[in-house]
Amino acid sequence: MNKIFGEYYYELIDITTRSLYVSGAATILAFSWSIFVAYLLATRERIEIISSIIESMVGIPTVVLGLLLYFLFSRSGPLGMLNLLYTPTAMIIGESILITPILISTTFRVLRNTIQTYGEFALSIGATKIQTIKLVFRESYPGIIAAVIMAFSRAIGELGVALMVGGNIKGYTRVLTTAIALGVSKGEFESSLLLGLVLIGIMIITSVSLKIISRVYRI
Amino acid sequence: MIIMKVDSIKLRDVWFRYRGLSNWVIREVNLDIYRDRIIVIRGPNGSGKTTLMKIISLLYRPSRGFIYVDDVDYWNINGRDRYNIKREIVYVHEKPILLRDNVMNNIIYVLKIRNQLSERSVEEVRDLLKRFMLENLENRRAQELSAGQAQLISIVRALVLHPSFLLLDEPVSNLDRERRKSLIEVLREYRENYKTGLIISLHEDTLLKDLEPDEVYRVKDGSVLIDTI
Repeated sequence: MNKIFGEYYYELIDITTRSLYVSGAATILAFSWSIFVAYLLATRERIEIISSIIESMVGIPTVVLGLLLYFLFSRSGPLGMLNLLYTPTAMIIGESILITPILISTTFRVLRNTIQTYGEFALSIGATKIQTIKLVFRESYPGIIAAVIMAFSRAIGELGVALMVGGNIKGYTRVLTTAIALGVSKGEFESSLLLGLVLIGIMIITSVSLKIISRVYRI
Repeated sequence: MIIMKVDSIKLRDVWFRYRGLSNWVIREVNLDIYRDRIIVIRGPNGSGKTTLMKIISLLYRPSRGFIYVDDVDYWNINGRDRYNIKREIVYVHEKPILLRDNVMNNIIYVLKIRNQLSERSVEEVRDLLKRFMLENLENRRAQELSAGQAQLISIVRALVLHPSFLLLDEPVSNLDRERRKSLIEVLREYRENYKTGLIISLHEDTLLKDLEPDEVYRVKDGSVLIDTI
């Protein structure tokens, strides 16, 4: 194991850092639009059809999305002139699209419940619209954090999009999941197992640290 | 900051039903409510008391009919005027709604958002907490309170705003005898000192004698009947 760890140490750090960067950027990007959409949906009535469509998108197969994005970013595709295929940017865009439905649907539920409880309370104490929005987000914070953790975990653990639009190029677009897939195909099970443990470790550390932050700041 | 007081709320031919439902929860209600009075709204569970309270407190817009606040048709005026009027009519839910914070911050929050926070108001909060035997709970998380304690905190939070009208929905349902007594004393004082109009819903008659209300209304199947005291 020491030999494996020594051999792959630098590559492991490189792959892990890239995985965190790509998934983190994708989560931030997806969050920036999902929170607005979720709030708009949560404050509207009769949006069952829209919310059902979004919820059904949560389980979209990553290879299907990866394939669609491949066509979109390929040289002959509509966005071919941007030369994004097989770049980390394409992976970030792809993963952000992948996790958008999960972020919207979970954040929407959290905001909807909070608005039902605190919306009327805010009105009853004479809060302004801006104060009401602030109150809703203040009280929804733990639920929103949980949604972000879920989305980040989905992004860092997905393979289809990363492989199809990233191409698994060593030192450029190789991330933990694509490296594991490659390792298995080459019969390098020990290194794949190590990468798998790192992946699970990141997910656990992310979840635990955010829980600790929530507790310390009482959010 | 515009501080205006509201002296009367009048309901004219008010009907209400929840969106998407066909049955009327409130039917043809006509009421004149004046400040500086104690009004009790009685009725069994499910009779429409809470809905009526929320209509009076301007949280629910009637499906039919009019609400006049100081002779102004409330639901047909602009948003800014509506906001100024709404601030003077505070409703306290039967099931206390508290923020994920400690007791003091829960109370101070409402003062902050209305720019009413001062040393005097904090003193008033501490005095009220003491009178309800809750002075040791200032730093306790709201989620750790008992139902009765939470109910009193939400009432304190409304009292310190000194609204023209204060609507309390089943305020004593979780309180022991001693705290009920303290609450009645405090409510009477606020009515005396700040001319706060009190509208209290009850489903039991135990408090009726102690409260000595000016008027008692009975809600039955969404209609309001005037009771003789």
